[in-house]
Amino acid sequence: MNESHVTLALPSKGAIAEPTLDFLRSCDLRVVQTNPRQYTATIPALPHVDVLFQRVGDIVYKVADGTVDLGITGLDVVHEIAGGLDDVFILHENLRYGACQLVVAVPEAWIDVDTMADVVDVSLDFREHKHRNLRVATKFTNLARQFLHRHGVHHFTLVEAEGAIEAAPMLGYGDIIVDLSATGTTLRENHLKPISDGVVLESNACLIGNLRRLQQCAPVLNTARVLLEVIDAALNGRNYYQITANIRGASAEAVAHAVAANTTTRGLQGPTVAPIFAANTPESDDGQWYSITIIVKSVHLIDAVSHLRSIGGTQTTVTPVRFVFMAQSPSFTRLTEVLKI
Amino acid sequence: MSPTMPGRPPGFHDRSVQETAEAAAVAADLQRVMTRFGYQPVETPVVEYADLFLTKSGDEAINRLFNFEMYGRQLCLRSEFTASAARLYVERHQHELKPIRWQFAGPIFRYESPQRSHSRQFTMLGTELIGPSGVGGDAETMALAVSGLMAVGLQNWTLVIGHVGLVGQLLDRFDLDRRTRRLVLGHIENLRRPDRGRKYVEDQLERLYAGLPQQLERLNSPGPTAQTDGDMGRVLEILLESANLGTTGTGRTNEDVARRLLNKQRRADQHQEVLRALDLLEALAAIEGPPSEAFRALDALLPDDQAIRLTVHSFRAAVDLLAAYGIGPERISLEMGLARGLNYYTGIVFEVHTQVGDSASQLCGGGRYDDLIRVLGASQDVPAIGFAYGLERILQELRRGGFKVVPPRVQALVVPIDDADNAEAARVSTLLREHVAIELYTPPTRNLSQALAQADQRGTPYVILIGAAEREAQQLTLRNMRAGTQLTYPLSDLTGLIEKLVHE
Repeated sequence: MNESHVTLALPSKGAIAEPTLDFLRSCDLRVVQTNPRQYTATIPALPHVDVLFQRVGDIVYKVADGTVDLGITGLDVVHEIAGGLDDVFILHENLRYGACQLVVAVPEAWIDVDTMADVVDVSLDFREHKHRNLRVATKFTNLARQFLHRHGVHHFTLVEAEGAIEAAPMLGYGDIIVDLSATGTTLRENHLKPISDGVVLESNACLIGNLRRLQQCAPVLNTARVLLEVIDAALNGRNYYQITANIRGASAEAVAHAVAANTTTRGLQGPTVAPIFAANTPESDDGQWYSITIIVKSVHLIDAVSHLRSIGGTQTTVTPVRFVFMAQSPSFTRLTEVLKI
Repeated sequence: MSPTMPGRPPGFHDRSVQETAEAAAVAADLQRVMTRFGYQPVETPVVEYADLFLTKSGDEAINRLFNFEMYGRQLCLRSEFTASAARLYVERHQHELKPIRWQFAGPIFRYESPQRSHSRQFTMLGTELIGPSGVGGDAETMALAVSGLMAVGLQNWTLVIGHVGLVGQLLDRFDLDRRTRRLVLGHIENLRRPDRGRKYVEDQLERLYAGLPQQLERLNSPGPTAQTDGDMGRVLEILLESANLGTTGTGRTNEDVARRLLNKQRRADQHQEVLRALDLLEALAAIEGPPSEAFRALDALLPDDQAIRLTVHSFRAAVDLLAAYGIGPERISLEMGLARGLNYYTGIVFEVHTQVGDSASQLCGGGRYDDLIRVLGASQDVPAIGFAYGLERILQELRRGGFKVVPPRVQALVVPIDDADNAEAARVSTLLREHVAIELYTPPTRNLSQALAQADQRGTPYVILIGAAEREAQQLTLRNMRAGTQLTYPLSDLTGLIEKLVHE
């Protein structure tokens, strides 16, 4: 391993593999795979970073032991595997894709079971009447065990299985399951239903790093900083639109005042107002034309456009904001606090 | 830390020489007291099957069980001694003369989540008194617990006593099914916790019936109510006919589902009864104070029931007996809400607390567990009572009071001046080690001033020098490090030297 190089592991397959490449592209960090069959790639925007493709679980193990510096993987596997590994540091907990829930689910026909209290009772029934433990099929044995115990289910046997967990109750190797569900479709197709208070974990893609490498290796910390800066700014950017509109007014101040009269169009600091030097528009009594630029929250877009119309705005153009860099990257600030640097 | 240096797992701590000496000294004192009471040391493995602890421990304890899987078997590091003692008794000692008195000492483990900076390994010492022992056994165990604390020098303590068995008996007077009773009983500690209280407990119990109306609706049934078991059977039949549940998986049948639904319905009918039981528990949990006062308050709550009167009578007798052990009523606080969070207790439960600022620190705790041994497979009921000290808590408490223990010290450093002196130095060391602790100076390159500096730094009182001159004269030189004086002794007769080393 070249000391000045930093390794970043990305998911090689599974639900978040493609979305991870899309996400990085949206952050202007395009991943270039020289050969689609190879397990390495580069990011031209970060020339000192070597990209490795790994399975989501392996990414956590490799970050934990320091053979990989940084990784993007699922929060579910991070908590499952790294629950007891102290060297895995979650740099960014929610990259806002790959959302899913780890849930406890039971056969739909168990109409007497809706809550974890019911599962407790059924587990006792199994022991008393069937003289065996309730069997729980899952890939997430650590999280499942902790969750079940926390909710008072103590007599159960975990059946660790890879893939097709949701088929376990029908095939007979598990009575209930603890598995990931994004939309609930797979559960429904297998005649299973989630337990109302049985959400073990809300998961999504996240960015992790090896704590010791972050502490001791400047290029790793620096790469983490760049990634967090860009990710924070890109995710923040998704919350905003930039609006440009032409408004006629007596003066720049008057236009600014009219625009700022509505809370949705006040922008992050206030509107930018610039005069338009239009050659073929004769000076009129209504004043001259100004171009205003504001940043509005995505959820306020229609309100903002309506307000601009009401004060005479026209030729309104809206562009997505790609990045919003605040005074500091909140995620990197948190990292520096943990590392005490 | 280099990548090959694995470090120390979080929650586990090393003990320094000083700390080890302190722990050993206090443990020895506690063990001596347990031995004086006639308890014989036994050892059980650190690793047990997880099921042993899952069977009767409380939820809190199970959540923190340090468990792991090996080849499909659920194992765990022991979280206490009582379950292991019960297992040992069932396996090998059922037919022995009872009662059996055992004492335990060793590490126990509790898995706290990694975010918290809790310890995961503790040292516990304690006793189990297995076999019928009655009121006398209750009093002896509590008195023993207190005697140990006094022996290590703790004076500022309070003995807190409760009685889970009595609370259980009072609950039996309500018409509750077994599971509901257990659940209600398990909430007594919550009732007196300021952050939880009645509202919290009711919310938790409410979850037992959650969703019931909708579930009955799903059966396309108007909500049948079955009063008797005969009714139950008929209702069940009707339900099964009308219901089209679809496949239930291979684990449960349609009948299992319908049957449980009816049980749930019955349980919902108990709701008023549960609330009445909670009223009583709340009143019990409020009883806290010196024995005379607390027993008076307790008497006021008791129904006219022969079995309950008997239990209270024994309870009072055990508490009264403590005076004979020198534990006066002013050192005792009766707390009927004390449950110790373990499901296996069936009678008296107790803890010894010491006041630290505004909060109490628990130094030891225990209680009577008359069912556990049979649950774990004994052929008959075997009453038993036990308790355990938390050594780290006691040490912490002693250190607060300025407690100091001198670690075992080396009495003399034997220094061979040259390689040629090694044999003689080894011979002398071996002879002296019959009597005192001797350290042999072993660095490959010898330097007298370095040897003296080492003895000086470590506070070794004597240095014994053996060199060419000494060998020739058939003697050795003893240097008193504190006084700076030197004496010589003949190599042929070390008795004078031994006298000096042993007595100074």
